[in-house]
Amino acid sequence: MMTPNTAANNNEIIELELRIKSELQYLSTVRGFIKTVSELNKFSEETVMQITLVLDEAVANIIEHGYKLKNDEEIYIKIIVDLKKINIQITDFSEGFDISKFGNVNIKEHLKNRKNRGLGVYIIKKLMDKVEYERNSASGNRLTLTKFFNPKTAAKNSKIAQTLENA
Amino acid sequence: MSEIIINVKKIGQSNSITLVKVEGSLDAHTVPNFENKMNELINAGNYKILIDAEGINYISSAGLGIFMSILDTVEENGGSLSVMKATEQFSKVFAMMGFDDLFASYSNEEEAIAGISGKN
Repeated sequence: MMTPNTAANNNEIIELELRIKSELQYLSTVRGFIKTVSELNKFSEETVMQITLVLDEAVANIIEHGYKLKNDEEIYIKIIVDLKKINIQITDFSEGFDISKFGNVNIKEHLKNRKNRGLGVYIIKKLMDKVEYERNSASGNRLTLTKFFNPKTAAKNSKIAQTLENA
Repeated sequence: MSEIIINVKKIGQSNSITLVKVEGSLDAHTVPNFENKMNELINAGNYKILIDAEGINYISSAGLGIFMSILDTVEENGGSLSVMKATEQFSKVFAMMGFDDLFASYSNEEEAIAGISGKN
């Protein structure tokens, strides 16, 4: 289910929501969602590629590691775009997948040892300017990813994998 | 809903190269299907593999991982893994990870056959 919600008095903010079942087959739906968002905002091809990859990786991780492939749960995705940034919020109700503990990969070693797993979180952290994770059993775990359009703004606001714990 | 289509044929001198044409997205959902097919081919002794990537419209880390696995296995058996007609997204994802030199990449079949055959 996809819900568009354009802020009434401010045409410069676009907010879109998507709710999917926790099944890997819906990864293509998630990628299609990004295509819709990018058409509304005229992102560059590079930005579309990066956001698509990041969201795909994040949702796949939730399904595989958070929900352990249980396919009757839900994942909520909200994307908010303003003049300065794209903000992606992914909420799930699984046991949680603490992204801050993963993705610290030495790519050269990874390559040398031909390891073929563990690259998804690395990709998310490499491409996003801010990665925040909040675990909350009541209101859901929330992974928030932010990408700034201006590299200078990105450098000032970089925050990778801060984890907040809430009971 | 994503799906993946895989077609296989033998090419090159003495049909020594296994050409695998892949169409669709290589994500966490479709990768097991791709992996099974590749394992079938490798278990049957096909170690010189050329992937036609023109139809791979998307690849994620799951796909990257399988390529690394295949590369490992074929090289252990004296073979090779090459790619031809890689899409922009495919090339960018590999380049972003620093994997762009992992295997040979060709623009077309003729170039690939010459390149692969020239190595042996």
